[in-house]
Amino acid sequence: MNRTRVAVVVLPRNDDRELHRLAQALDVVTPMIEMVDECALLLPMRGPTRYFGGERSVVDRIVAVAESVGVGDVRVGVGSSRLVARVAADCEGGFIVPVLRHHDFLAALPVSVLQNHAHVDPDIVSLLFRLGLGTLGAVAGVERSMLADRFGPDGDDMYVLATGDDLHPVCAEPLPTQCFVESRHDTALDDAATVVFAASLLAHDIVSQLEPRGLIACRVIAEFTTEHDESCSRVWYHPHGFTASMLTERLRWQVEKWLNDDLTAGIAHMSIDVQAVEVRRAMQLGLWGEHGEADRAAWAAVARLVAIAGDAVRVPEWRGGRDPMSQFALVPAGRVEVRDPTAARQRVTPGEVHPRTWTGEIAGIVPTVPIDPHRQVDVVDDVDQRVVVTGRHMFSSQPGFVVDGVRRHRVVACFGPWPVEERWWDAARRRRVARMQCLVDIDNRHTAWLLVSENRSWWLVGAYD
Amino acid sequence: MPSPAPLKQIPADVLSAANVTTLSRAVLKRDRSIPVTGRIAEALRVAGLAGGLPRGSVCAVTGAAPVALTTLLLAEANASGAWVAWCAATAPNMRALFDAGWQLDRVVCVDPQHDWVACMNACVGEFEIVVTQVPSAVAPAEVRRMVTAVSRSNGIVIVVGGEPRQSVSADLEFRVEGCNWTGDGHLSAQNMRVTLGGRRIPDPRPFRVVYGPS
Repeated sequence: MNRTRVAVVVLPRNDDRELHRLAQALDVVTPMIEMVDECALLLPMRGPTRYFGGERSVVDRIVAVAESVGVGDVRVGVGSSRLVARVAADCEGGFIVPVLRHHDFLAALPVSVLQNHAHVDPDIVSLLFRLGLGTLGAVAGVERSMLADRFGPDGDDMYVLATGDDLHPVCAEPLPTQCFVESRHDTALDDAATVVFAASLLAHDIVSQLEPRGLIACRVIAEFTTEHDESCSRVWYHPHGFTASMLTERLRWQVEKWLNDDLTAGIAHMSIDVQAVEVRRAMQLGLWGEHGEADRAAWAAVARLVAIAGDAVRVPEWRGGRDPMSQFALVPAGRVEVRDPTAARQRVTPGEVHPRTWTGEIAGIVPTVPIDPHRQVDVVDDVDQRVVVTGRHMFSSQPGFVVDGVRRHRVVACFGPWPVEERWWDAARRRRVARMQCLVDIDNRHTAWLLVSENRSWWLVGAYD
Repeated sequence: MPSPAPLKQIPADVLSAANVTTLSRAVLKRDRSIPVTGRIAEALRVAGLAGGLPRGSVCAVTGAAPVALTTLLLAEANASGAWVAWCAATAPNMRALFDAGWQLDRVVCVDPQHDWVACMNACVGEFEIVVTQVPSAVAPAEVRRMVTAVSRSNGIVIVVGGEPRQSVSADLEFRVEGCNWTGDGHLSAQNMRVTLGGRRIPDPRPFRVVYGPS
């Protein structure tokens, strides 16, 4: 069977600028690069494999290109479906899953990958676990019609993914268009805000054209061209389709990053070409009175704020972990569906997406103010010797002072150290730290700090202010 | 068709002076205030504000541990349905808010960067509660304009941290005079000595609150 081979490139960090740079640079390897999420992108492999002579050389090429634009440590996974390539990229160093091993690799994966990488509802994944279907192999062993009966369209999707196919094909060349909108601007737009506004009109246009047909766009090519024919084209994909706000947000990302490059002219033409559509599933609207007037006003205000401040508008999301300062991450409001109350509740509830309890958490109250970026300080004892945390997780001597730049603060009391050894099995990502709560005297006023010791140096990470 | 009977209850001069919107706002403002619980509610009751923080007011939280006190101050309101926009350069640690009982799906953080005025314009009147820090570069006239906008709106603004600036004449000011800590193997509670003052409180009075697991 002729499956489309794809490569997924995962960046070590969530860095918008690096992702954009990498996508621009990889345009020389292949066109039609698909943006997957904040730190990953996807390349169709058929063309490049033939051109560069083998998948291994394409992967080497990708790593070389990434290094040439200053993005180190990218992980590349190659597989016969989006899901397989994505999981392969997440494994240490990333690797190539050969065509013949495709099904074996897939069958051994836990069903949680559906939730993490294929936008399958966490409720469904947890139900699969409880039904005893812990791996994708087990899911693929169930009859397709039974899955569809039990889970509806989601069950059908799961079957397709578990048997190693893609919901929507990855193509190296543009398909016949399903719907096309464009706008030309006689006076070129050079201000990011106006371009984003024009792009949002296009996004609304697409959604309102497809809506009467009962469809929703799930794979689009968005292209922006300047007066001097510089252009930026990206493929955006979401298996469940884009609402107008989701699409606008992606276009905004593309435009803002691109306008930061050295362009010689304003934008004169933009187009959205819908490559794949999905039947619009029934969206459950809240009954009258379910959401108060306050919720509606707040949702509208969040949208306006995003238009003003962009990614600086953020909402909390539970991530878990042992570090009390990063258990909730702040994610850009434009990238999540703020208007969906169930999704919003899930986003912030511990244990829904990531586990709730972690051994090694600090007990008691947590700092209210994060110090970002962490400030390096020094902890010394009464005779000015630096205090370190020994291999037996004890202080080398009793902390006496915290030296913060030129100031010395007397330590009134200190609690800890609480050691954390994270990922000791992974040479690249292992981390050994120790935390300490410490009460210091600043201008005769007691203040509490949370300090972290890593590699024999101390960092101030949070304050109880 | 008979014409409807004239509204006798509302005096004619009031009706001519105000449209329905302002009337309903006035009614809302009188009837509801932002709910607060615990020691802070007691202190407000003693000061004559039984319902909680009056809508349309600007509150300042200053002193030693302003963020911790703000966390306690707004927990009840947020848990009972109010949205909070945290419009300041530093967002608080969300875990601390969570521990205090906040519903984090009704929290939005904005880093206003260079355009504090535009961000506040988008927040005030739309979110019930806006928490902010006024950057020193903002002109006093802009701050006064913000205060006016708040007084016409149905929400409140909390100015957190720093010394209260002359231009922000806060209706209520919570000043954390100092903290005592209790701990047994780890920090377990923070006892704050707070003074409640401000324009609406003629005689400032002290009270104590505890930040920590209840």
